[in-house]
Amino acid sequence: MLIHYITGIVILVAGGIHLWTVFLTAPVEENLRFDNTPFAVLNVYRNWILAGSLEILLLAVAFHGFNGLRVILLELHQGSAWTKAVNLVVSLVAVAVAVYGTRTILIAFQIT
Amino acid sequence: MDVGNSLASSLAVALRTWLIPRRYGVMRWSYTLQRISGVAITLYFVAHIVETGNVVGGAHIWMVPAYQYARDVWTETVEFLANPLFDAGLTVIGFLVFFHTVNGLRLFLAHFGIILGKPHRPEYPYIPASMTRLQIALFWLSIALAVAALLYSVNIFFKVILP
Amino acid sequence: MQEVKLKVFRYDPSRDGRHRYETYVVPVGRDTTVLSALLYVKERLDQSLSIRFSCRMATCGSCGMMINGVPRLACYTLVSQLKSKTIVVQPLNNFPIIKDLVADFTDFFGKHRDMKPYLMRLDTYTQEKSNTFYPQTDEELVRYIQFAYCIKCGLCYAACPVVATDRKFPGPQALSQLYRYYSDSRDEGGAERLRLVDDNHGVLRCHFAGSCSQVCPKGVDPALAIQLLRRELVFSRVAKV
Repeated sequence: MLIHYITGIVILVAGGIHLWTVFLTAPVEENLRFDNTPFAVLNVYRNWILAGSLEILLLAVAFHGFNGLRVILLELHQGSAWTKAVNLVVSLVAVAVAVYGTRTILIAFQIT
Repeated sequence: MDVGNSLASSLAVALRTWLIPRRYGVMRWSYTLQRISGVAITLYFVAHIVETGNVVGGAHIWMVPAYQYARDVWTETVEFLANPLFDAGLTVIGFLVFFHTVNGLRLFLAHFGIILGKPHRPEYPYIPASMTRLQIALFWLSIALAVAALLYSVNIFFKVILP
Repeated sequence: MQEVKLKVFRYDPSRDGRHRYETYVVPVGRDTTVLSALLYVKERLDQSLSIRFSCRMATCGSCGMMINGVPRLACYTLVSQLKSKTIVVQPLNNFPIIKDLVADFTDFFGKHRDMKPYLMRLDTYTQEKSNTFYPQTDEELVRYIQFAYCIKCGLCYAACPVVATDRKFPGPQALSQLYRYYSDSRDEGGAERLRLVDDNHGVLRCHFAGSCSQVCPKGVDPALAIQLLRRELVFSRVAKV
């Protein structure tokens, strides 16, 4: 599918922003060691632009990654039962992950 | 060799041809590594979503939690994750993400013929125009950046390279 | 005169349907090809060996086989170039086997035929019945002539990792021939040709592993043809996937 290429480019941009924020909230060693003030990472995502880009990253990675898995599984074996099963399971897992991730972003955005 | 038509034999054929490039050159290795890194990153992505979801209270919380409750859950999850095994896994993921991204960019350009050569009359020894030097250089760049990311993360987690 | 060992894949469906490897010791010189070595085996050591060959000069495409794990033409591969004392010879990957080293090309040719490998003009009467000719400039020729040198030997099909598991994928040979006709200025097939590969198991299943171009004995570079075909498919807005 062609959306695979487009989501790849989207991930390049949104992922760049994500890595930039993660490495810029605090000196990297302390930030990644998780023993910094508990809400430092959450603080960063409390504005619309960064939270929005995180959401876009979530949806793009969910699509790109699970579509890639779908392609690999469909190339492995052909047959109408297998194709339908793979399409169904992969879409359900992708949607579940995207919903759970969106919930995380919404909650992080609301914590005062 | 005969191509089977059951799932088990398809799997056997796939593992033989996809994972063992067998002297076909650098681009075939890049195909294999792109696939493996893609699958690994997707699995890590699922783990990451679960981990970050836990840290704000887990799947049963759907509204703004009390401040103290959230702080406790964060602390527990942080303690669970501060583990050298997970840190080592993250360094590997760093390598794979950088490789997959830069190689993916190269594939994006190559798939639309942008960094490939032009068709021409074949002259012996038939070096294919699809294997331009720019392309191969981009592949090695993706490996180099991935190794740099690996070293950077090893330094952060284990502090063995720089004091 | 030196000697090498040829370890040859043997399979006879009329016997017991199981395959085995037989080793033969063959004297070789500096310029002995693998095909000559196999014919020595067939003439002097084991007459039951089945191989397919014809021109002995890399122009008919009959003698493709896996030599030391890589698809090669037996007549085009020198024993001395392989630099090993034991040479393992097997039939081409991704093809059904008829007997010993002979592969079944029915599916391969079927997929090629599905790509309509002939010039299509809207005015078929003029094309078939009159003495007209279609002039072409050198630039127009160079756009496709490289892909027209395909000898249908099947080495690219054997090397492709997608063909190994996806039975509906046309394969690098068929796709590059589709592009050969699409980019030929004399052809008026246009969008109709692109629609032949516009599905989930068509051009988009190529991931540019490049093994096809690596093994092609004639420098056809099918990988380049497929990427250019993909560009045409996407940018000409014909694609529906």
